Amino acid sequence: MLWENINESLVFNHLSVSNSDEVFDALGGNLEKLGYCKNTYVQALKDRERSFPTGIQLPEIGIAIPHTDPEHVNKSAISIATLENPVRYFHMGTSPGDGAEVQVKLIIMLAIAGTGHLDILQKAIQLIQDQEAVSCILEAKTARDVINIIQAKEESENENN
Amino acid sequence: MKTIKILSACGTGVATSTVASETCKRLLAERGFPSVEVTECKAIEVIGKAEVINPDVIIHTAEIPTDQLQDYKTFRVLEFITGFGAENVADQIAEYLRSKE
Repeated sequence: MLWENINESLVFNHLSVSNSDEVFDALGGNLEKLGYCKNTYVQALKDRERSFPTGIQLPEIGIAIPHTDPEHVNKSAISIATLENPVRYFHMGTSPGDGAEVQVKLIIMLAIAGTGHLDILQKAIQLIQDQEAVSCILEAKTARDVINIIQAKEESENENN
Repeated sequence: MKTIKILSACGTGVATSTVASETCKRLLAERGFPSVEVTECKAIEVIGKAEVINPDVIIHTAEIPTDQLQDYKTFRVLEFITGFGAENVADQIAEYLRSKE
């Protein structure tokens, strides 16, 4: 399960970066260093983002869900970052040339090792669809706080089911 | 009732298309289409896949060459990822499927 595996080494609070490549270097480089991804992952993320952007404008904020092909991934993981200052991405479903910019404050980077990871993806999607959880994560000061917010959300959903 | 064939395309064919597929199946079931078969593919494969599968509908979260897919009905379904507006898009797809019956 995703959220049981998420740990503080995969969460960044108020990361100070100036563009999307620096986001990929920071989060993707960390996933490579920790062994979740191969050393081709960061470059593959950058290439993929240029062809198929992953920015999403939510009602309150912009987010991005960068990811790339499974061949660059050893073990599935999700890495999360809140950004000190918004970084420009382009909107999913468009070409960067169309100029559909999204100012992104929250990154949910997906390292997917193959097909059949629907549970991971749905958890990530449920998270971005929860505006209250998203705004709490943006305010969070530590990695532990972010994990607590995610786990509390998960527990309340389990109770509802 | 016949099985509806849907082709779901995204950049990698494993991430957002999977989520879009599941959401699509669930929302179409609620609209009277319980039998839906979804094939996922990468955006760059979509033309070839469409020729093989002959889908009733193509849904996509990445940009696809819609000018080369004029034989097919295509829907951009970012709403299935964000959740916001998903019901409306599902209504449009269901309406289209009914119009074909």
